[in-house]
Amino acid sequence: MLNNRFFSTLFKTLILSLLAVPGMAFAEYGLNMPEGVTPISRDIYGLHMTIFWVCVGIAVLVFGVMIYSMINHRKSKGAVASNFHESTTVELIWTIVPLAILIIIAVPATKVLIDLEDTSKADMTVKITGYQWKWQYEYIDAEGEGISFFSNLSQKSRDGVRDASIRNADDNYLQDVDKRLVLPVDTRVRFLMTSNDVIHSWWVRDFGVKQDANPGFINDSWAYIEKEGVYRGRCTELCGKEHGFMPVVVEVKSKADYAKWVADEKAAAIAAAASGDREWSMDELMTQGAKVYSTNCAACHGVTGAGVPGAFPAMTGSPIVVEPDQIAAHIDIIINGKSGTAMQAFGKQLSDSDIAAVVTYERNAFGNNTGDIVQPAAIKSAR
Amino acid sequence: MNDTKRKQRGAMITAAIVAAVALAIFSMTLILSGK
Amino acid sequence: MATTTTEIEADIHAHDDHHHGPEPGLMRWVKTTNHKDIGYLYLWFAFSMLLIGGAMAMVIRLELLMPGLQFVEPQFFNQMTTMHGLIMVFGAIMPAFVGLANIMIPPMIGGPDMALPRMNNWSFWILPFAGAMLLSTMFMEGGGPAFGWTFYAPLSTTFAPDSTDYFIFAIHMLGFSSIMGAINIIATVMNLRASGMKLMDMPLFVWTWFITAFLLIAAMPVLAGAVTMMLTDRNFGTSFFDAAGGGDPVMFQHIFWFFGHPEVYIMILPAFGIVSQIIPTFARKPLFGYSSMVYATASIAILSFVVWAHHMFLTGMPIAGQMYFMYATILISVPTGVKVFNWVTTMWKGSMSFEIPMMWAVAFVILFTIGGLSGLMLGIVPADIQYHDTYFVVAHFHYVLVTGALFSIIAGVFYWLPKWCGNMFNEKLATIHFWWAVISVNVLFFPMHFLGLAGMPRRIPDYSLQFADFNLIASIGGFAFGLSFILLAYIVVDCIRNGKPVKEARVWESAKGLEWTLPTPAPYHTFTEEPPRELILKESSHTAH
Repeated sequence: MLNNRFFSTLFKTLILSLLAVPGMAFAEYGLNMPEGVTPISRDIYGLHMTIFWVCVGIAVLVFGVMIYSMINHRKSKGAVASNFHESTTVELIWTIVPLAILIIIAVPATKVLIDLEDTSKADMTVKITGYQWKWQYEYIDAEGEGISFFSNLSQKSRDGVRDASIRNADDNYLQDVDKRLVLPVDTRVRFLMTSNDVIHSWWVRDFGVKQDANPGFINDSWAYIEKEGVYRGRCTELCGKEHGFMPVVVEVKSKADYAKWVADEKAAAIAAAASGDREWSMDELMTQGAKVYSTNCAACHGVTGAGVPGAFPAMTGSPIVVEPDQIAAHIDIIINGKSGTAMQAFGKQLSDSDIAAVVTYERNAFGNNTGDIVQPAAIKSAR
Repeated sequence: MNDTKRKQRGAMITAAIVAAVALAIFSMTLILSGK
Repeated sequence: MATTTTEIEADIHAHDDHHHGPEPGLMRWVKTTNHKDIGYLYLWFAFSMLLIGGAMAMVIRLELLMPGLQFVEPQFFNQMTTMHGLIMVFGAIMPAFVGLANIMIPPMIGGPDMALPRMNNWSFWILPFAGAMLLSTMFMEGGGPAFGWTFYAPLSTTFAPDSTDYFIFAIHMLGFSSIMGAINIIATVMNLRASGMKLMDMPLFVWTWFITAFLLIAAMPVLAGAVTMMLTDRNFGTSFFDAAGGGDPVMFQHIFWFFGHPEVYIMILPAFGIVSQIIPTFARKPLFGYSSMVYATASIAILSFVVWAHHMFLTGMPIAGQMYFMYATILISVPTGVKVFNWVTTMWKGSMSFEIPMMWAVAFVILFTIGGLSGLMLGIVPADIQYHDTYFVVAHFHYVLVTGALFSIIAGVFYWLPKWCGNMFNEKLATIHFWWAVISVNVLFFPMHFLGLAGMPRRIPDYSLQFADFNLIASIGGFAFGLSFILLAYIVVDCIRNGKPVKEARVWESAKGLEWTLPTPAPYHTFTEEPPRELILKESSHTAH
């Protein structure tokens, strides 16, 4: 009884039910795409479900005929083979019917495509620049014009990578950042995407927005977000070692809350610029430096400053970090990078105080203990 | 020319033509990309 | 008429003093120009590459078993994903199909060997060197290639390790081998066919490989061009792919995918051919719609050249391009569907038995169709926004390449192995192996559809907690699937060494084709004289049994 026929039927039945499952389940079970919060994401969801059911229909038909045939047209059941081996009519039918199905699918797909490619009449524009391995957001017009910041993987996620106790307590492990992109609800937002180094790709699934960020070129996309909330996305183009560690987090606020956020940001920007004008204490520099190092440098130079031999120099004992006459060179390599290597030019990414802090930190942590202090003013004059 | 020799000659001619096509495609790839 | 090896060799000695049969010892394998020898070399090489590439997949699935980084560093993980892809595509699947072509095309067309036997030897022997060079890059300073098997610029040019230049050289060698193989196949089919066999009399395996050879000739030189431009960008100051120098990174993708898309059809058309040989045999019924199958294969091949940018929908393509490529892409499903319907109709009202090769062929039809359907979904541009670069794509291509191409190769090996070595494999073990592989491969890859829809990107070594469950399931399936290959190796080696001898020329009672008129095992030289047209017609798969 437990012969080939039994097993083949069982197996094919299981496959068929597996096929049906995605249609029955909802996004909450992690089995299907969500509808999302923009008109485009909903249109995409509709197209997805349509083509999905077409595929299920085709599969049920084809596999059904196969299973029937495998059960009934068996030699062991006494079936005698027919001899027919061609039929132009049948070939025409199963060429034309699928073609018709494709045309029926292509029509709504084209409509949605035209809609999603139309980035005109935007209320505001955000320029998104992919870096190895973080995003930079610049508000280039409308209310928030001038706001600009980097968005890095959160420290908590960083710590969770090798520590299960931190990770398991973090619902937003690997999908949280230190500073979110903030957008107003019910606004037509245009996104410009580009890159500072390699190709990245900016994706927020709930918006139905994904576009490659190409170095030297600008792509665009748009979204009209209809619901306040926090939405998480990811980098979706392999961009090197930390590709899996540069998430996207967008917080969508009501228009009033957004206006308040813009005002707060502009005030903070003025304060941050001013912070470069005063003297910092060693403690302040070390605290800020540790944060900057962890966010920007640890990925390559190591959390303990050990680096990776042959690839990324160590901090500990490295001449440029410990020799007193190398302070200027140390500052220079951070501001301008080192061409031909993976060491980026951080001058445009980090403020004077951040660079002063990280230089001070590197010269005093990791067992270096040089006692050197570098002030923001020194960075300003070095630029 | 016997059958075998004819087939061998045909094979060499086919091979030469196809190899030339492959080389041409390689060259065109480089040329067209360099504008 | 000579039928055994010794009788044929006596014949040869009588006619021509140069040939003495296979050379003794290891040098036989170095110097051979015999298509069967070379074919076996390709198959063993491909199998070892499959195990190496598979081991890399096990490392990947081990790290992805749970969230967090437990076993490898991200850069090494990226090397694993890159090398896994390169080795499987260029080291396992392509050489395996070339091996099957080498062994089976000459007898199927009633010819004595491949048209250019010495070039055939060289085509093979380049491969171990190219493979070794590729693998050695992982031990070089800076590590091996870690930019994905698709090696997009500038990650693979400006930002790539020093070993990349050796990677480029390896790709050149691999491509050169494939091009020479394709030249040989075209020359063989055009010139060495028995005079009684017209093109439309050829078995479908020969047709699909013939068409594949043209795809190889058109596509591999383009890949060579792409990597050459990478080499000059990296070393000789050009900026083909560097915007700062006036170039365009997206142009790399155009060139790569102009090769890349035909490449995936290169990896599936021979599979279609194998399955088209097996199903009629075990359905005891001629292949349904032979001419349609030939035309459909040719249509797929031609269309495969004009759809490449469906891999690039999100690069910033103008809408006209997106529309065109969407329509052209979904159109390919029509001839592909025709082929699936023809296989099913071959089965319909047949008199089927489910020996091992048939089980693999049926699994191919079902599982490849699932992969093809997810491909149709991917072709819809707006939907692709949500699928692109996620595990949904990974699921799609593993269904078509593993349960598609790889399963067809396994089917072909089980189908033809008795003819090659003269022994039958252990059917009980082979049945266990079949179910083990089929179940575990689905446990491995089916959840990836869900992971993609849930938002998990590709090529990441670590992931957010909501992806944990399906990754755990996939990894368990992966380990089980990996282990199944050890059983497969055992079954094949055990067959060759201890299998029960098979006396019949027609190993499978309803098999048709010139290869089934040869003795079992097939002699070293076969069809040194061409078969008569009556035999060709009698063995044709597309006339009644």
